[in-house]
Amino acid sequence: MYIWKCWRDSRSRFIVPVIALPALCVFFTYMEFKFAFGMIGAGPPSSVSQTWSHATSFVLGGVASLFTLLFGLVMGASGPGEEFKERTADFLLVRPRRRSYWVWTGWSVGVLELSVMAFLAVAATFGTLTYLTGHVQTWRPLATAVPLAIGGAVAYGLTYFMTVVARNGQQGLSYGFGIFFIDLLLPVAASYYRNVSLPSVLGFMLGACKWVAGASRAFPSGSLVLWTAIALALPFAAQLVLERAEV
Amino acid sequence: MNELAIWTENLVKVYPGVRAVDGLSLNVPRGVAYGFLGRNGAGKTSTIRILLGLARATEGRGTVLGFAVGREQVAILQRTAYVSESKNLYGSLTPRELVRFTCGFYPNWSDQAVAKYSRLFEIPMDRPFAKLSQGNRTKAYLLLALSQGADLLVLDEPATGLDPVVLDEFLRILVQDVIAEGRTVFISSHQLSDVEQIADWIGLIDHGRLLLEARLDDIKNQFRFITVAGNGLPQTESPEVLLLASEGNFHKYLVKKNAEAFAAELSWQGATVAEVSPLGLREIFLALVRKEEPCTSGNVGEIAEAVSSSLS
Repeated sequence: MYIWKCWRDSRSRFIVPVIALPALCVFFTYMEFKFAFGMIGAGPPSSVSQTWSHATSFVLGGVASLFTLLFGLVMGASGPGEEFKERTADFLLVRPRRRSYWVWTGWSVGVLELSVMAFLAVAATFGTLTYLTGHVQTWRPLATAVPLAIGGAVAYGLTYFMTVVARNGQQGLSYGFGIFFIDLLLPVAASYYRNVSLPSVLGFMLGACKWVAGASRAFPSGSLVLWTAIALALPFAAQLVLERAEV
Repeated sequence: MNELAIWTENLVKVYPGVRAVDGLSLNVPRGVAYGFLGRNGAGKTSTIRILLGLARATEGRGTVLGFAVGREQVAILQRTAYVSESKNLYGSLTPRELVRFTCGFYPNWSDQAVAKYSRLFEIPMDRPFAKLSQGNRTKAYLLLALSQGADLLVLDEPATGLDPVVLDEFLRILVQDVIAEGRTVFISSHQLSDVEQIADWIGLIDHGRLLLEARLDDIKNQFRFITVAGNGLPQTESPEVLLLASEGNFHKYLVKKNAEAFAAELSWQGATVAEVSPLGLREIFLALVRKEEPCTSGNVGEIAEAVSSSLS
């Protein structure tokens, strides 16, 4: 029913990223491997370990995180708020379900898609590294997909919520991008000018990937809790808005 | 209240600067076709949206099929099919896909009804909704509503874009397949002749207020225009008697009950009764919305008392 419709509506926005993100990961892993370390093929164990760590931090913590956030923002624009713009809300909202059902079902489908993307990005990165170094890491891929998926869920939920507030997918996307760039730039500015540390979703993803890669000893547990809470709070806020919305 | 498909009490809906629904009290019996009539902006769609939970009432309360509006909305929606005025559906989905999307929400969904009505209405089931003509869009919407097996059908301007053949077929379906099975049809429309064909009851609103709620048969049997000539005739009005027009010695009344008694009363006053004529729904509609005097079937009392009071 609605899950099928959510998938049908979102698949065009999903197919490009789900192919592009792993491809970008393969490309940047290869470039990192070739140009940053200047070697192809297995090196000494310490070099292999360093290669894995650096590639995980750069490719997954940097490139994949940034693109997951951008793709998450775009994919969130197909939320239930778009029903108002398409003037189909009076059809959907008289189906016998609570309004929370529409919000959480749509959100779950989107987050599931983002999780698949994150997992494939991680798999592509580690697959490439395994191929290039001849060394296999068994536990890290799944652990690295978690911060990617959480960050993606935050970006997705942001646009999703804004779409419900604006009652328009495109406007919701614009607001989502605006807030995202504020979250991207404000911590940098605050750190530079005031030496104050502000939370940033990209910073969290990078920190978590560094920890997984062994490049950082401190696990960002506070950030993990914070951004998980935000990822869950955004659809809840969308639910509150939709429950009070009149058609 | 449980005998009523829809019941509202003093329903009010205020939008910024507009009082769309103004103390509306409806009593829609179960198992009937109820024509909900009014001009553009009279408050029909606002009322329907409140009943279906698409909007919240500013004041008042109501039930649909015995379930409280606003509090038991899912129970209402499980038993109610709605055809909206706009008739917008997902443009990329075909009617067949729309059926697939909709059917899972309703335990009484009938695939036989889908097959029957899609054939009767000649709906192109595999063409995207966005590429359908207005008439076919309406038909697709009606198909979804009719196949739900709902106890109550709420139809807001259901005839939009339908050709006379399909419209006739649709009205026949409403009578034979819906009302005959004891289900209720609540139809809001400007097409008075269509409503008149199937409606058992009429509710007429204007400026958000109920002007009339009565059985259509009672209206046809009892409502009369009376045209008289004479001096000193009653200028005041009562719930049963409306003075529609007065020019010189000529007066035109709309009498809702016991018109002959009222005409006799006027004759006794010395007036010359020129005409006592029955009314169609259209004439009633035009007469009442121009007067905007609230009256309901509950107000229809003894004509003799009203006549006496208006004459005294």
